Amino acid sequence: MPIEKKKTHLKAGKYFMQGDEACAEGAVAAGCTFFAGYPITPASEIMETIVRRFEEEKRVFVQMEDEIASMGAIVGASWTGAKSMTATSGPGFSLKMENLGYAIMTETPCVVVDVQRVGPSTGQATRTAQGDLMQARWGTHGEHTIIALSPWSVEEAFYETVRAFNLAEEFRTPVIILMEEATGHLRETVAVREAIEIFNRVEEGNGAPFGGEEPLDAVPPMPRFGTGHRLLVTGSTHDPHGYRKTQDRVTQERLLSHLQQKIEYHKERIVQWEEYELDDAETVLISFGFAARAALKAVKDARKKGIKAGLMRLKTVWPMPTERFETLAAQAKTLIVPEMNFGQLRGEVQRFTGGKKVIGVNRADGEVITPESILRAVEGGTSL
Amino acid sequence: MKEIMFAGIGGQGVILSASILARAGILKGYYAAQSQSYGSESRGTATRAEVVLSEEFVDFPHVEHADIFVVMAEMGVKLFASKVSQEAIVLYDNSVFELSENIGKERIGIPATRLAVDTFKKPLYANIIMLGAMMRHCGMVGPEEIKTVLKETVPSKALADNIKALELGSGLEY
Repeated sequence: MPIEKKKTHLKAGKYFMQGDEACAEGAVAAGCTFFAGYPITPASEIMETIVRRFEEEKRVFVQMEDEIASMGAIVGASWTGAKSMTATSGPGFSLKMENLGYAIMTETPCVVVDVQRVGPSTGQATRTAQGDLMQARWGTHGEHTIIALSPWSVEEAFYETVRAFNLAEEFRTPVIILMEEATGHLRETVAVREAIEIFNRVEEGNGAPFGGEEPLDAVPPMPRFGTGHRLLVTGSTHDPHGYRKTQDRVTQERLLSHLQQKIEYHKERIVQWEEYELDDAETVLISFGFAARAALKAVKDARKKGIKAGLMRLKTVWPMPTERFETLAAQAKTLIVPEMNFGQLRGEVQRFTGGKKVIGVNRADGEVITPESILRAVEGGTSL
Repeated sequence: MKEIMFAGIGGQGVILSASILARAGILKGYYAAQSQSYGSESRGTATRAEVVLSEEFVDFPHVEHADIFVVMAEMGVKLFASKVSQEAIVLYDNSVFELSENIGKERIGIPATRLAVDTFKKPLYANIIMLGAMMRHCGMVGPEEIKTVLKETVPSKALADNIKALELGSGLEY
């Protein structure tokens, strides 16, 4: 079995650390052996922690000339068998997009962290935002699908990073960790468990190294360079053996279907969310990341006032649990999506409500969204 | 649960104070969350640091309504007054500015910068003097925890002065 139970490098117990540090520690625990990056606020502390930890652990860290090269480096490293990672923020995330598409097309497991700050462009380096939700989904061109996770606490930054590596290995795909500056720079209590589950990619097996053979949703084995395989790795349309087929309609169609189905057909292994007080909720909040913490506080404050409010909090933001959006929309009198942008998640939820209007609580001035502003919307919503 | 907010200008050490307090809280067995807001520049911009100490995990880890507001520069008052509870204790450095705003319930002037200059010949320890004064009013952490954190945090040659600054701040009569 590719699943391995592994002792974490940290002694089980309570720690007090930053979200960025926890993300780096999660990477070390998950078995990340190669990190390439370029410093940027508010993600630099991930790299800083990695540098320190990798020296102790004798793993490979490279500071690259920019983010484009960093993304290229982790793709290459992954093909040597390494679990690889890079971390950045807005402007750097934009630069990663080209090679992110290459990683998707070449089915290269790797982890890309985006600690979101205010944009567009350089925006405000030290201020928080959730403006990259759609970029994570559609930032690289062409029809594709992606996995993106959204930790809401420092503790989750640790465990969701482990999960990101496991999903990358299992589905042979880049996985994005979408944090916010608010979590990346938050210091908080973290409980580290004795052991974690680690998924290691299947390197040897029957069949060709790329998808496109039946069943289309199956993840092909990924041999590493230097083990006797004649490996062709290309970002152009290729058949299951890696041969370029840049004019062939059927190959393109099968490859695209494979890339989509290996993720979409296995959503139950990927999509995670948590529910709070939803059983009898008439006002349903749907949120993610740091905004969901403000939303949960607002839900609890609303309950104290006798308002039947509840929260669905996305841990996996891509793909989304759209079936649950539908059932919640049927149950709710009012639907509210709080987020630190102008409505990127709201738009997605709105597609699955059968026409029921979704109210947005939005903040995009670089400050965190507050429980108070969400509570006001909850109170206003229920009196409609 | 207590919400504590520190404000000042980048370089005054408000984030360090907050981080020391939070880690002292951890030593006491509390859940602690510490966050900050600062400019891209390393010095000179308005800086805010927040600590939430609680018996259990806190859903929203930022300060909503500060119970204690420690402010070391006048611009911090105007910028962050809206996050201060009406019941708050406000500790401000009255050797740097006079507090004209009517914020919080109790306002206490601590001449931290002057004390630091008088005692150590430099304003460097004003943040730790303020931390000492804050400790007296917070009630959740004591000098032992803070000293333990200081030992882990500051260079050993600066430890004695830091502890002296802490005692200066906590021992003030006001």
